[in-house]
Amino acid sequence: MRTDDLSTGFLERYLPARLGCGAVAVTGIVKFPRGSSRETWFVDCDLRRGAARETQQLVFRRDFPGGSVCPMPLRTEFDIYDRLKGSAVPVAEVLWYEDDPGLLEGQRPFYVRRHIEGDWQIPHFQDPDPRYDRLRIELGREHVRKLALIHTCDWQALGFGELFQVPASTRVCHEAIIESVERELAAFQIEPFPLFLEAKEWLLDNPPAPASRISLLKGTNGYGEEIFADGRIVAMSDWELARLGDPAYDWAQLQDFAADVVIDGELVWGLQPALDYYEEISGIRVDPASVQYYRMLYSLIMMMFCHNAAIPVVRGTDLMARLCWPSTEVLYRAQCMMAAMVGVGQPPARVPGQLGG
Amino acid sequence: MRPRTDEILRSVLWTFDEWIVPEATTPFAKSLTLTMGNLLRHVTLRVELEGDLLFEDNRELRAVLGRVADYAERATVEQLALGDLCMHLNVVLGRTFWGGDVYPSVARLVEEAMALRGALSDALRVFLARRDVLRDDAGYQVLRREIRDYLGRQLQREGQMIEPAFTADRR
Repeated sequence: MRTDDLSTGFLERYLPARLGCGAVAVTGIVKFPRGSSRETWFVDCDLRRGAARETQQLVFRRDFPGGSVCPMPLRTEFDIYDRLKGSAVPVAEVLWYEDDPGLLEGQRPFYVRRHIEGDWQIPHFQDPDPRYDRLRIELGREHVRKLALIHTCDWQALGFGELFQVPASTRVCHEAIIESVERELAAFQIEPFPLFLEAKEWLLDNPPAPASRISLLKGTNGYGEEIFADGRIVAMSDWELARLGDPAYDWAQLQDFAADVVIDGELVWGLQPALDYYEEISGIRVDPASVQYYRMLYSLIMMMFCHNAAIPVVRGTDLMARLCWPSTEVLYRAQCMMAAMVGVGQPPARVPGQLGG
Repeated sequence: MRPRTDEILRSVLWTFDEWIVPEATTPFAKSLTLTMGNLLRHVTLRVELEGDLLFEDNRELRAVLGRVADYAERATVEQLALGDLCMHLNVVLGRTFWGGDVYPSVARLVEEAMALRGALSDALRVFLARRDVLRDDAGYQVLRREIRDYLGRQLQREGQMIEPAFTADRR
């Protein structure tokens, strides 16, 4: 066990006051192994309330020792979940945000949410056997329904206008992202990236069609990002790249759920069938060309957060080797996307579970 | 000294794969060994290639920046004065990063690369801000094409240290 791990001792001292109960016995702590932007801990505990006993499963979310790979503050991530509480968008219920130094005992700030039963992994989803084509289509349609819920929610009423920059119009949603990414990158940049500027110019000179509307956007979404139970999405996770803007932004970051499914020579699922279904249920039209545009724009975002992963390693504030992977290979992949955009390279080879192929 | 660095790294990687990876039993530790295997292969390639690739890249970028400075010097009044950019580039190009009798270590080559790439970024920012004026100039278009071609080759060089290394699951 490492000294900065969430420990049973700390949690058993800390939790009773927050949960308003007597003694708390922690029965399990597991760190989510895949996390590459923030730490996620699953904590099981038994609570005593007078003579009664109950079991709770909690999820703790906090930055790495050197910060998060994505510049979005942890507090903003908590606020997203908090604002979506009670909306039609399925998310885990957040319970509280903790940054009181008097209670943290030297731990980093975190927020706590209720554990949702389910799994991001779906048996046979990636099995190429045609027997699972129907499964892929059904899961794709389920994901599209949930994307539609996000994109049609009343983000103003939910308070997202105070949380995120609101694009000035549907014509300039892309510019708002380019400007904010460049600003975020400049805040920590320790290495020049001329290719970023070439890509920026291309993106400004080749704008997408105006967005159908300005929506709440999730950012990274699709397989690996959402929690499923019985074939339904019960919680949408990983909101670190959320913002307001063109729904095409989310379609560009959709992982695997709009991949082509061909049955008897007919394309029965894929980007266009998924967009048609989405328009049918949401009334929002998304141009595939805009999806392609935002896929290219994503290379700027990718470069920004991958370079951010290098900072704690260079400064020695967090030497976790995991950070060296995005800051080398994934950053290279982002640059390959940019090179392809400006006509001097090929897009990177596809890697399962990674965008940008 | 024998074994050489590359030989030691090859030994470390083999030992890591054969003896450390099988001992990693928790999901988190297993996931980290996947990342580290890829990174060890990447470091092995960097040790072997990075110095030569940076040396070649810096030499090519110097030539490109020289042509950017020439263009900036010749730019007409209509294209807005690019004289400041020309002076800035000449200062960077005139800077010495190591003496003639000093071995150009990778650290020195990286320092030079950062300065040269920073200068190229500065030039691109100036061009970007004035692209409405510059874009119809044929000489400017040739120059920009040359810059992009260089950036493509820079990426190809980096790819030699990345693509053969990251081959297994990443996490």
